[in-house]
Amino acid sequence: MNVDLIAPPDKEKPGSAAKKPWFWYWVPTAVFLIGIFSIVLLLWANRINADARRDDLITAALMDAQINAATGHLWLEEAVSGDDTADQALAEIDQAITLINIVLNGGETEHGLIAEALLDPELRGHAETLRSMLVTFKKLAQERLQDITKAGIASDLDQQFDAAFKELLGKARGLEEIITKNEAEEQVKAGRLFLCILSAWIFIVIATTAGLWSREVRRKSAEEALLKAHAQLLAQTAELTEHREHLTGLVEIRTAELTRANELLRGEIDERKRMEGEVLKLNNALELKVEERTRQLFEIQEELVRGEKLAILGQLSGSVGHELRNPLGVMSNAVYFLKMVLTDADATVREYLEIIKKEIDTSLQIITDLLDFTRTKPPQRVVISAEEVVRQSLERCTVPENVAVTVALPDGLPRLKVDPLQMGQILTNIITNGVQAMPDGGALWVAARFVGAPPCGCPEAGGHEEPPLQDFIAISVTDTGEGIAPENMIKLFQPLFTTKARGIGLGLVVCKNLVTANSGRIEVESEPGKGTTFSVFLPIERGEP
Amino acid sequence: MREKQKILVVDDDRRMVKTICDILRVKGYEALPAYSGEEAVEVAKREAFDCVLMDLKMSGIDGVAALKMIKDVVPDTPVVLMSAYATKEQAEEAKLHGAAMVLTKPIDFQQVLSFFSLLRKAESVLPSDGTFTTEELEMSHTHEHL
Repeated sequence: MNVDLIAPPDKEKPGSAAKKPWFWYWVPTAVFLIGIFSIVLLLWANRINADARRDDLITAALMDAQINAATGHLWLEEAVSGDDTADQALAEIDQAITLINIVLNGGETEHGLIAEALLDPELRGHAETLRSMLVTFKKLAQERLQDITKAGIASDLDQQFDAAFKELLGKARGLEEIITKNEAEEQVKAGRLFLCILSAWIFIVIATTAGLWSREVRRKSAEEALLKAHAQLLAQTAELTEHREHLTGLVEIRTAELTRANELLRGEIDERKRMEGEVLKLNNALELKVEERTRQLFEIQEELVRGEKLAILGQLSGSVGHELRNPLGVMSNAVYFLKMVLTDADATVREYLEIIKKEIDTSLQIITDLLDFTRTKPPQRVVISAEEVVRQSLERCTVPENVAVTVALPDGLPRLKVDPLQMGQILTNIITNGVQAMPDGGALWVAARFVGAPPCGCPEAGGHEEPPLQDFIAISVTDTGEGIAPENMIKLFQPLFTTKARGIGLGLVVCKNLVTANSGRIEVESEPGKGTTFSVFLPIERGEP
Repeated sequence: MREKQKILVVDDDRRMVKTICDILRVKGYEALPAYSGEEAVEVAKREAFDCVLMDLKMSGIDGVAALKMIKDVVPDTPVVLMSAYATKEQAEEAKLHGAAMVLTKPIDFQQVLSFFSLLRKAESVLPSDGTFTTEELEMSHTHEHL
């Protein structure tokens, strides 16, 4: 399990903007604001100061102008009195007018520079009135002086002049008062403004401080909350980690359990597979057994069917043999008759008569085999030489010209004790088989040899009974025919088995029965395509009478 | 001695009788047919024969019964029996009742003719029981061929 730990607040995340301390923003802002306010304040102060100074200068100028007017008045009085001060008086009045002009339009005074013209309309009106009064006063003064020069000073003019002067002074004082009053008002205004600014400044400072303090408080509380949250987070993280570890442990345990279960399962699967394999093997074995049994059953069935056939054959063979021998006898007689009377018949007729005779013989042989099979006559054994038996058998056989017969009988063989007729039947049958196996010709060997008493359990194809331990003479017939297929070897001595197109498959059975009846046995060796050897083992005479 | 030996051929198979008779006639014998045991006995009662050639198994009275009856009438006349499928017991019984020979069908004419010529030669000196063994006949037959 993957749990992301939350970074503590004092840890700056890499890549993000550095968290600046609170005062990083607030100090410059406060300084800037205070500076601005200070500048504004200073400007205000300067302004007020300038106004005050101007007012002071104007007041001073006005006072100077009063003084000049008064001086002029005095000088004029003096002039009137006869002193030569008229020019001085006029100069003083001009000075006063100049000062008023300066007050009105700005200019250099002996106290300082009045920078700008008087803008206040009331004051300007007063000042202009004052200037016109001064001009009037000057004109009066000039007139008085003329009078003086003319002779005597008219009392009206004097009065008028004094009144004007008084009025002038009054006006000047009024203006001065106004100005002074204005100045006082200005000062009050300035004080108020200052107070306002100061209080505003204090408010700002207090507000800023309070804001900062509250922010600090909030920051602290937030930090505390953050720390608390962080602590909680850490606790939760720890809990989560613990939980995760627990889960991991559980997962490991479960994994181990699953692995174990898996192994068990795998083992079971292997076992199952092995069992299946065994079952399969057993199944196969069973199938083989079933096949084997089925085959055996089939064989038994075949045997039964054959037995059935043989039983029917036994029942039928007697009557059928009898019934067939009669017509065959008639046919045989007829052929005999024809051969007898047709002595001068042409070759074809004689050949055909011969064909009929052969076919009758073949049919009779089949009947004879049938009858012999169903009823083997007990042998009438006599002492006879193998040579005699072979000779008689060969005489009975019709061997075609394309088959070369070789007889190899060694001298000095012991004599046999067998039924000669049955022996003839056996050998005739075997020789005939050999000849028939070579339709395109070949070689036929008939040989005899002495065979000593065989060790017990010798392989033998004929007879299931153990032959007595005695000496034999083996008469063998070998052909160079087509041979016998291996699968047919075991059926060779079974009744009704034949590979011939014509034949009921009893010849070799009869042979075997007859050989067994004569205490002998019959063996066969064959190589397909090369030939077959039938060996008949016959007992020798043992000196019995 | 007569010119021709007189043979009675008995079989219920008419064609068998005819063929045998024809062959014997060609061979210089006087052959008379009979088609049953009863008829054979009747004929044998009327006429004398040098030999009777008779089937063993016939409808009506069979060969052995007819043999007995013929032997009752003409005991010296040799009777040769023919059988399609003679058991050893039947052959023994037939010989016991005086059959000269028991042949297996189809009959071997060489053997039959040899027997007849033996009869002719031994007309005056027949064996006491009037029978020949098969071996004797076969021997003579073999000698003929050798």
